[in-house]
Amino acid sequence: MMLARLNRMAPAEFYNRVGHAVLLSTVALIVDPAMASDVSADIPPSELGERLYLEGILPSGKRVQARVQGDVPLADSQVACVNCHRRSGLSAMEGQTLVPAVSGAWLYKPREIGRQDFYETRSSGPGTRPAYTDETLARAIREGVDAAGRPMNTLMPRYALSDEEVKPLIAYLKSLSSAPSPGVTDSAIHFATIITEGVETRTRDAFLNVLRAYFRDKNADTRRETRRAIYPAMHKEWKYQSYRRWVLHVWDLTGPPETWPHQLDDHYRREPVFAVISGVGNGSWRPVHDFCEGAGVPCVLPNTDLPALEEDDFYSIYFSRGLALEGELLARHLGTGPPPGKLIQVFREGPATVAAEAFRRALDPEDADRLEDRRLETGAALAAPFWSALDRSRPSTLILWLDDPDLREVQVSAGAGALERIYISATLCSSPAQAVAPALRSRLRIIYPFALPDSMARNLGRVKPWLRARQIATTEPRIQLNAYYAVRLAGDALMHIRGNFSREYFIEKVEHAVDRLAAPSAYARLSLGPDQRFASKGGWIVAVPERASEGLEPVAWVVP
Amino acid sequence: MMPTRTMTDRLARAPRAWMLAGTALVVLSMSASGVGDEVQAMPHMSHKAAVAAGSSEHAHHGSRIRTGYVRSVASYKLPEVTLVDTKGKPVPLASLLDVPEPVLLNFIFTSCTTICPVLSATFSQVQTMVGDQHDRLNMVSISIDPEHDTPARLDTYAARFDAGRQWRFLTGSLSDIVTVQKAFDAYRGEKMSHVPLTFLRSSPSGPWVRIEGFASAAELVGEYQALIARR
Repeated sequence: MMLARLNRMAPAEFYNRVGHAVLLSTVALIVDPAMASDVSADIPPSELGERLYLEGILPSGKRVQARVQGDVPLADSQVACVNCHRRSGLSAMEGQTLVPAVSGAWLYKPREIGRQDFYETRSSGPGTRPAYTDETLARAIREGVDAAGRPMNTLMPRYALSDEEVKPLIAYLKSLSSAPSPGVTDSAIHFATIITEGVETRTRDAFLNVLRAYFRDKNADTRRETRRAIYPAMHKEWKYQSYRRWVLHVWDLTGPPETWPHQLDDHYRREPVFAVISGVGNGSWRPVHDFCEGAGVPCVLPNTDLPALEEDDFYSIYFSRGLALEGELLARHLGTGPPPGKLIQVFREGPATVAAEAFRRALDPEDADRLEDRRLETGAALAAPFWSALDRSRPSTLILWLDDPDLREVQVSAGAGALERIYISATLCSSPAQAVAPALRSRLRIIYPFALPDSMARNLGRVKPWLRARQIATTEPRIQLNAYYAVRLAGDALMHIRGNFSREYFIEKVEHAVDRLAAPSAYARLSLGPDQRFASKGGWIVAVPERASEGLEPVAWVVP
Repeated sequence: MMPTRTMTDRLARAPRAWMLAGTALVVLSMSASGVGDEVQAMPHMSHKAAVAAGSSEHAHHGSRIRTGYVRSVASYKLPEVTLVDTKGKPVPLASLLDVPEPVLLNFIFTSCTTICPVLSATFSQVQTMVGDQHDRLNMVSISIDPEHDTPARLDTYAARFDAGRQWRFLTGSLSDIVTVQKAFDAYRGEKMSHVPLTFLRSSPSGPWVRIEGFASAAELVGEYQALIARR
């Protein structure tokens, strides 16, 4: 019965070519054209192909089967093309392994060594292949034989696909990264940076000065790049023709956050940019995040304490999880030490709520039961009765998710009962070492998700000459350093995508660039990988020495 | 036109230069292009081991595509580090590996898109192939991206490959993980520069078999069986 079914659906040519018993039985089990036509009748081929590429789902709705290394069946989650070839399909490199491009434009032209208009080119032998045809491409996907008839790398899975199933995939590959992303013209590439309501003018200027200086440098034409782009040396066309002038658009988001999506749409309509680089946000970055994911615009490393915590989104890349990271890393820290006893966290409605809620979620359930919240309404005063009530509750661990003005109001009695530890946030408080009375200092611990002050000073030292030469004062060290890092990263990624102006490829190169970029930031350590969206994974817990002049003393580096 | 000729000449000569550079490089380049035969005989490999590896090759011939890997034997001094398993429990590495049964070990990271999925799928297939014997084979996968690969992420990853009880996934502090990689001569700087490596050992007193490149599941099982046959 199985054979009869197979005969009905798979053309003779298919299983003549695939003389593989295992493959045959797999195909027999998974291919059912009757079902395929039922499900996929109304879906255009390239969409069916997209589903196969991104999710490994066949037109029939079942998952495609594939083997790699000859005898290793790929797990369901590994079988989709996108796992290796990535969204752009424009090649990837890991270690010594090259994953070649699979966009139609690349596949359907011959690969030669040398140049067409040179007197010497080579179109046969290693590193070359003729242009693929639909037939040879289907063969490559199913049998692992390239257009030149050579077996492909063993890492390329061999897919059990019928003629009917492979067609939509080929249609999708032809459309993949076929048109350049918006925001790029023949001579310019457009970027935006976003500054939200509530960011002080002083901060805005300090931040923009860095970005503008970098863009100015980039466009200085010191190596006559504009001319070389038009008249490149023969062997360097690939390098110079991708040169574009950088254009910076500043998108200020004003008024209440509910109006930002509309403002973003307006900005984008007027100035369709290739990517958003850096930015400064006061409050949640969510509206920008949603806009970027919706429009497919990369958003690279904004300065925000409140990123959208979406691990599975694609276009938004953040320095860290911000205030949520602080809550999570504190929970982890307390979980690895002696039992923290009775816990009380004090926070004012607003950004601090995110830290407090993340802390509660991440805490061991037993400790969470012992955690009490003291929530302050916006604008409510922190007066003496509040603190004496707190003292009477006799917490052993007190977490003050408070900013500088609120911390100045702290009246916790040094002799108060069981109090062992006070934790405060370096994100919410700008001078944490001075945050509590000297008598309490030995019990103070600071959650510090940035580079420690001495390494921050070194990092800043590496950029200061550049800033000084451009007459930029460092009034906002963290924001300015991060802005510098973001543009350097964007520059590096853009250099690597060369003329392939695909936003997806750009994101893929950003993922790669972070670990090897020799540029300082305000963080202890930045690292990304494929689909990783938060570069700084952990933070410090630091103590304050008796004499505040001795700086901060790291107690632990914690990764939640 | 002269510079042009030099450039193309250099391109044409490049493969030959590599061929001369040494056996290992030849093997790697062949495996990368997928045209090489399996190479078992390395200068520093015992005759007995070469025969064993060869036998596994014949046992699983069939229509299997050719793969290539370099097999060598080495001794490594295990560092005194304590790593963390998928439940967040501390695991002293040396004592985890100090078991009478054979050990199969590799380095992976969960967000890797190229090498690790294949290494892990191969381990998963090895687990299936050794079947009932799998309790006797300790499998260990160590993350080289420890700050991203939290115990929870590793747990999800392990489930994806149907890892049984005998297959442990470990993470740890960045410095400990670097130490372990260095101990196995597996450290290549940042994680994206990593190379496929698999290690096998029959017992704590024995040396490690080091497999560079991609061995199929059948080849790994062959290596494993050769190891226990010689015990």
